[in-house]
Amino acid sequence: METTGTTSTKRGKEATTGTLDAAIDGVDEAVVICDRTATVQSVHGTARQLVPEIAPGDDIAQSPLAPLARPERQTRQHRLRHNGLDLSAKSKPLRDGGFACYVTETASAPWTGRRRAEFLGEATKLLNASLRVERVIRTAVQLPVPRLAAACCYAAIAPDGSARWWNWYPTGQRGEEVTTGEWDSATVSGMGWLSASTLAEPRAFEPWPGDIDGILDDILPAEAPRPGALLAVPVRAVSGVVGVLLFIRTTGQAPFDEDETDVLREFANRAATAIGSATLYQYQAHTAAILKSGLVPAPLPHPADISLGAAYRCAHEADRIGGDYYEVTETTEGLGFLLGDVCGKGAEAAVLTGLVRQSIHALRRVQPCPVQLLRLLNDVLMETIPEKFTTLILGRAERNSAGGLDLELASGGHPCPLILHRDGTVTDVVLRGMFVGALRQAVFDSVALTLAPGETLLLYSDGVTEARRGVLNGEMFGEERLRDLLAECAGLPAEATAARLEQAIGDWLGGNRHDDIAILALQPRLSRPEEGR
Amino acid sequence: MSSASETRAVSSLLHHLERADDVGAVAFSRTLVAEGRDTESLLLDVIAPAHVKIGRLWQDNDWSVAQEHAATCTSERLLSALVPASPAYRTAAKRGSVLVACVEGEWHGLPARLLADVLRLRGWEVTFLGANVPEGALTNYAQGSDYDAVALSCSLPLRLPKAGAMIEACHSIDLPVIAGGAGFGPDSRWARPLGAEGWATSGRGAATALESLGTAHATPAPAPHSRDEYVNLLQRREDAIRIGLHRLTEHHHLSLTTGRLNRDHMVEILSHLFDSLAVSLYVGETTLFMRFLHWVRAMLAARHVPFATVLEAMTAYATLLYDYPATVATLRQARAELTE
Repeated sequence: METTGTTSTKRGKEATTGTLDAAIDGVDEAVVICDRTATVQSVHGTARQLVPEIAPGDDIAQSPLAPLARPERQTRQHRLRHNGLDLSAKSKPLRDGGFACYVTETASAPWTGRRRAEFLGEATKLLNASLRVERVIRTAVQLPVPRLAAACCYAAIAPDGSARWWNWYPTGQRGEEVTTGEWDSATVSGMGWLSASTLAEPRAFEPWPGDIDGILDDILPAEAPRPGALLAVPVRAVSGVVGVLLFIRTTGQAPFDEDETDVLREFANRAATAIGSATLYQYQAHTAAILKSGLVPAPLPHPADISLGAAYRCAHEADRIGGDYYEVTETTEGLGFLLGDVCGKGAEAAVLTGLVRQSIHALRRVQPCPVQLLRLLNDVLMETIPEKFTTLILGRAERNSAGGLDLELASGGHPCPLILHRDGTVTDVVLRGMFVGALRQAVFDSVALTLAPGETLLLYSDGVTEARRGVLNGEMFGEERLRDLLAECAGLPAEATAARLEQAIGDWLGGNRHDDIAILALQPRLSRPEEGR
Repeated sequence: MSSASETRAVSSLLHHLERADDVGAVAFSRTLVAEGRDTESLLLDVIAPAHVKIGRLWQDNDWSVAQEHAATCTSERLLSALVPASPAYRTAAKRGSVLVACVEGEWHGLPARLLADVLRLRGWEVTFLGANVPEGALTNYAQGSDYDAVALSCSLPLRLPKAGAMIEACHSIDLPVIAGGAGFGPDSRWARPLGAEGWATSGRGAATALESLGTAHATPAPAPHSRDEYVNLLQRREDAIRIGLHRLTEHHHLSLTTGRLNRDHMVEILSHLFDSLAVSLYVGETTLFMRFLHWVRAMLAARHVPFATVLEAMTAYATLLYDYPATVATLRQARAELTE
């Protein structure tokens, strides 16, 4: 019965292999077995702690164990430093032409002095690399593994007693991620080590029945070795304990000694600072974003008969808010538009622009006439913030029967608007008038005019003409260049005109600092696209 | 789609763009979609090549800058009309979120806009920041939300130092960067040394690079030796442009030949010349400077400005910057190649 015999032999062999694998897995060394082409066949023992990157199928010559790729007859001990671990490694040829690598952690220096400083220095750098809470926490749980623990878990305690947790237990698989989840308040209250009120100092403990049973699957998967020594360290922010870092060693690993406890306590402090900064930043960034959303220019409307273009650059570019402002609103009385510049810069000025725009919004409901609106706004500003003022052009546009626009403009101390005619000539709209909000008896100027089809009205702030060139002693852009530039835009849609001006001024600045810049272009929309040419 | 039909489609679209006819452009594009072209192909195989063509039309002085702007606005309107209406826009499986921006000083926003829309069509959640995004604004924006990556567009090599700084800034807040655009050179050769995690020369390539992005950050290649000289050279920019301008305006024979250029144009050419020279030291490759010179020669020829103007400026720079060895070597090599 040859067939049966073969089968039983095979079965016996399989059993032996399985038993052997299990036996090798139990040793305190990392064992990596490679074939004759230096390709990893299997990994055993403590490989997942010491060299978690290596997996079957890898080329050993491209791995952290590259020096072992050519086993010599004379076995040589290699000293490697990997993931912050000091490793001692050797490889031995096997009979089939392959070889086995054996790696152990060198009896290492205590966690004091330079070793401690290096670890904490690196940790601080990486923890502060992000201002996003989630990322900081993910970094925090990965840093101590495998140098100081086999796994690390951070639990953030919520006010209702529940906790959100992040856990890192690398098994050497590709694409592993920090796992995360939530524990309800009953689970949390069942675990003494996690109780923020009682945990003041690092607490080392053994896995007591009940203490971590409920969360065991979260921190060490079923197939992992069982937990041995555990260390819980409170993470303390200014407001008190916000979470707990749990460092986990598996059975067979040494308990946490005094130096290790001390370095992990300090690590937890640094993690607390980074998590605290990121939390505060996110909160403030969120608040700032909400406040800013009312202060950045709103998107232009798309009225059927008027074409619009705008450009906006702030002196504090990172803030995206400043003292220049523009707005276009469709009203029952035609299209209302404005462009202005408040005194001052940055956030403080931006708040004033918000006040001006909101006041105009409200006042327009009772007073559509631009110059009357300016007078009302002047009163409002005098009464609310007498020390602040703004320059401003206010206008109203309505389509006329000739396909052009009837305009009514009023100015308070703002640079005069320009009109670009179809033939490329540029003319001023002469408007005088005093600053708005500076004098109770201020006088404003107004004008009514008509914009023919193909003509463009341009409003701009003095940041345009006062832009200083990046070279040659910062010559100012000036009104003449602006006129020449505008003349080149004859026949262009309003948005292309605004984009052209913005780019030309940007190139002129060449990265130079500048004041706030606002541009608003407006033209009758051509009924047929061909008409303009 | 055959390449002949593609060429026909590009020239038809160009016809609409030339007249800034957005209504016609939208109608034409809808017929292409009705004939079976998907929106992504419309963006990358029709709109993008049309704008490459427009760039060449500008270089040859057939189109004005203003016309180029009008065409760009028209294409932007076209994209706004097409992309949200595309079925892919709503049905694509959700991917991550990405921030798309142009390097500070880079005004060519359309390539980035096309990429933003391609990514949207592929299911990415996209925040498009547009042209000329200041470094601080980019990082401020990025901190506000949980983005998976930044796609950085750069069309002119002159912005590479800024691109390098922006990539570094993104890494400091733990965001990987995909670099794309003609500015990163043929085959995106200058993207990797600046530390980008992925790079591409086309919209499809960029989308693929983004899809295969790993979690590990790339590290920038060691700076070329000439990087030190680049840093010092920047201190001389003002002097060089001033002396170059003096030379071009004082020399009688040149002021005759440069009659078509006003002072502002000359300053612009001198600035670009200096910056290209500096950036070629930044990346450590003379080819960057040569590419610029060939481009500027064609551009000036179309405008009947003799290239001698640029050669004269190069001489002025070489004299002033005699103690900058890599600079002088680059200028010498360039002159030799140009007069061959």
